[in-house]
Amino acid sequence: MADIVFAILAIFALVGAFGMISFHSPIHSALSFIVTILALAGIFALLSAPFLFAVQIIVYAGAIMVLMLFIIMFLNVRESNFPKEPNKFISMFFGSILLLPVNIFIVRAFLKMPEKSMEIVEDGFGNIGSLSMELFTRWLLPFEAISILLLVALVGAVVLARKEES
Amino acid sequence: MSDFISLSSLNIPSLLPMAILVFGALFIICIDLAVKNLNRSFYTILSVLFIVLDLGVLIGYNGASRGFFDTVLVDGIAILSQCIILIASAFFIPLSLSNRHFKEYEMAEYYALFLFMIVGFQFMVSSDNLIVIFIGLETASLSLYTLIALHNRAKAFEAAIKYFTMGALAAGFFALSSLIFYALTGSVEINTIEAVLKEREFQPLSAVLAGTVFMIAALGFKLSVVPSHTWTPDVYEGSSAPLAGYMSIVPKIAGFVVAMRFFEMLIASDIIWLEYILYGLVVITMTLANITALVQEDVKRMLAFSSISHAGFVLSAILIGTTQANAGLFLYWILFMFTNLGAFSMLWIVRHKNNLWDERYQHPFSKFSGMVKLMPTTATIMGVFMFALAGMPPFSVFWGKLYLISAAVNSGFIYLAVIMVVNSAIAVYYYMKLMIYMFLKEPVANTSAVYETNASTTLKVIVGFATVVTLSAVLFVEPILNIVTKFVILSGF
Amino acid sequence: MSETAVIIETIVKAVVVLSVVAGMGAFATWIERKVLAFMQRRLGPMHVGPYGVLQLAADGIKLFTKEDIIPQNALKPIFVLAPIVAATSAFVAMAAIPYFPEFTVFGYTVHPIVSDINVALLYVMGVASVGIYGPLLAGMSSANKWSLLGAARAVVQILSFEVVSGLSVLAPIMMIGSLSLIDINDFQSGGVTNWLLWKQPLAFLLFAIAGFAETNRSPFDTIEFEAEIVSGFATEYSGMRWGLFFVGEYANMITIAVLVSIIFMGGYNPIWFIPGAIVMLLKVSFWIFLFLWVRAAWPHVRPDQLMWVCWKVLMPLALVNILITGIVLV
Repeated sequence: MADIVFAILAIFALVGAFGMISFHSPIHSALSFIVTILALAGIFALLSAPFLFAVQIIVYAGAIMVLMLFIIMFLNVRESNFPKEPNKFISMFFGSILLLPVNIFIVRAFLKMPEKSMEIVEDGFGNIGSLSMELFTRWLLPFEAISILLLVALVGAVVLARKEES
Repeated sequence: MSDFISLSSLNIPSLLPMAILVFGALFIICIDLAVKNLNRSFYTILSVLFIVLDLGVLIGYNGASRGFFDTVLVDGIAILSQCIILIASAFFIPLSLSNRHFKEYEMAEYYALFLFMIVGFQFMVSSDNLIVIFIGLETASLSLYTLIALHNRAKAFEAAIKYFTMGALAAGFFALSSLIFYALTGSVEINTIEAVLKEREFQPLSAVLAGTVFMIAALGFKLSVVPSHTWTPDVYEGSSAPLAGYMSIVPKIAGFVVAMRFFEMLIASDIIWLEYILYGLVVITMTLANITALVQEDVKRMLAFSSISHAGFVLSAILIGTTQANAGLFLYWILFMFTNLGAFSMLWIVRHKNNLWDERYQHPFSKFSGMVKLMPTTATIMGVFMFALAGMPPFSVFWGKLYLISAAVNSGFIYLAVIMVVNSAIAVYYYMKLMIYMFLKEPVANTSAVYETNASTTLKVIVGFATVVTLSAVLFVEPILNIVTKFVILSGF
Repeated sequence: MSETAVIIETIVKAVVVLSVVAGMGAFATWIERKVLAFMQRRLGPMHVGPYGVLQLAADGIKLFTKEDIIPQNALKPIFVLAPIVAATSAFVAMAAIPYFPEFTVFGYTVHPIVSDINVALLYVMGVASVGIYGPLLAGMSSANKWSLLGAARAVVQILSFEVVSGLSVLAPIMMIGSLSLIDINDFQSGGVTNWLLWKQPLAFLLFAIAGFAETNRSPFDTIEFEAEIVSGFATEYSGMRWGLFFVGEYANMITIAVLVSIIFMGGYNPIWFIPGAIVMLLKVSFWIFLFLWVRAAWPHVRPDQLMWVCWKVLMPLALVNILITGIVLV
């Protein structure tokens, strides 16, 4: 059962990713990317990580992609503004053939990884209690360092946006 | 795990260097909130003050220690590289006190972001946890992109966007590499990864190779190693001279330290292909950058390619991997720091708001032609820096080159040593090209005024200091080398 | 229990929740008209059926038989997709909500929750937040400036108030230590005095205000305010497509009413002699009534005022509330 669900979700994720790079208009690309994100959330749920599943939906599908679509909406790009990509699929095809050895190599690398059981581990696994315990003890410093990272991004964005005024 | 953690087990002093600068950056932002339109010299002094304070904390170092559940690692090379980062920052921030006023230097955020950037680099060098390194790398990079874009010229935006796009790709590679190593070993700490891999004799090899290749791509971007160096000249050209100079020194030393930690474990594995990869990278980076530098028409772009080639030169230390080579890396970079500080400060001084000499370039070679007749001191000082960068004895960088080449010879890398020497010889040509323009050609400008619009006392003092260090390097190479070697040995490299 | 049985049970529950909520949503439209009418000293719909009850059947027939119009310049696939997204996300969010206490039918214990996941609250809020794609895509694809304005307002308003509702609900979660709605419900067992409402009055107020804004109810219905932007993102929609938006909106209202009842008002714990299921129904009905009451009593606010309130008043208050709760807990 879990394998079937995984296969379905994986196909959705791949189709979404493929759609994202092959659609012409950014709206369609963004929408198919959302499909990928939701499929990934489903895979998280399958791996008995309900918190990651919920966060993936809230953060990526609910906030980040909404803002991206919002920006696409405000840029108001017209069909004529898009770059013409006459040989897009041909170049994509040859590009993927060119990258095939690399991909085979990576896939082989992953196949040789040590086996890990994909069973549901235990009851407390992946819930907020154990997760936050980890986050605020062992990973306290990276967690706080990320807040600096976000502050930098915030200050940077505000400074760059404000400059237009004068 | 117990519910309560004793404060002493956190080892809070290990975080103090970063905490001081974070506090400084927040302090600057808060001051800006309370008092508007403070003078740029105030912010500059404040930033430098915090950096000096930080240096004072670093000097009180005694023995390697870990903190915060082993996510912070304060060892010899961490302290050493932090010192280099802080000293370089303390000299590059006051370059904002130029004669002409630039908008970005009036903004408190510029200084806050600068301090945050230093914090990012400090996190990068003082951890062997891939996640902390990644966060540090991203903090520093995001600040740097913004600082470049703040310069408010079309070229600066272009540079920032180019750097950002390439940097995002490199960040992806870093994450992918960490992912592969985590999947292999179940840890993101370099020393644990090393232990697990050694136990398993680096099997499966193809996965290790994949992780290594991605890591090389990620670090190679920061170090501008050849296949991923293409951003360097454009970004240097677009950003202001102080930032370009800063980029040629500080991100690279941080990258070198991470590369040192990371590749040391792989080199120790005696995997032959890894040596080949690094060997190839070193040789190609040195040679290709040197050859490309020959045909540049702009001094800043020439310096960009020269810094790529210097980075390739220093990367050989990681390939050689002996204590002597690693000490040589730090020695080289300390000397290179002062020389490049001088060279880029000179470019900053002779900056003119209009491109008088060439439509495309800010600092074409023709701009400097006959400079010696108009401003003999300036031309001579610039000449000293060019000599030093070319590796002429007895100027500073020469000693670094000498030491690294001898490290190569001592460890049996004879061909590498030959290639390094040949490259040094090629490099002389393009540095001398500028000398020929300055000393042998007729001047194009009538007065020296066009070269001085941006010169201020602060800038002159900094250049003067860099000149003195470059000239008198021979006097303190020995003590620096002793200190550096001591620190490198202490941290086991 | 075998895997197949679980699947069948889940499907049955999902179908029951879907049909009951959709029915309640339709019924709520009639209630809304009636309540508003009485508050304005009118009678409301009276002619179709006794007291106009069959009006909703008539409305349904009208919606189903109306001509389906897609504007010429609209992006057709997205235009079609938008209302489906709005309705689907509203219903999918209900999967993790426990409506009643568990009960036994023919010796078979039924848990009236489609899926009991331990981060139920996050799940509900997350999936409900995906519902924002409905208005956003509708506005972007309609090729109409009112739609675009409505979509822009929707994104700004809903994203901003999600921050408030998320932060305000954090304080109760800190006290309970679980995100499971069943745990939250059990935490408040033992009478009215144990309701979280008394311990977290500020969080309750903030969550309720955010609930009004997120479900686009008056006084925060800037998204489709007729006097300013015709009908907002739904301007170009008609017939069943518009009906899907409508159903989604009412489903969201019910979700918010259920959430407030469970988190702050004791959930489905029995009070005195009244059994839990009835208590729950009463609470949800009260909240639906409150939505209508507020609509009848209060005027609209401007979008900029709304944003001002959100970021400069409500969000700091929510943060202060978390801080105080943290200090008290430690």
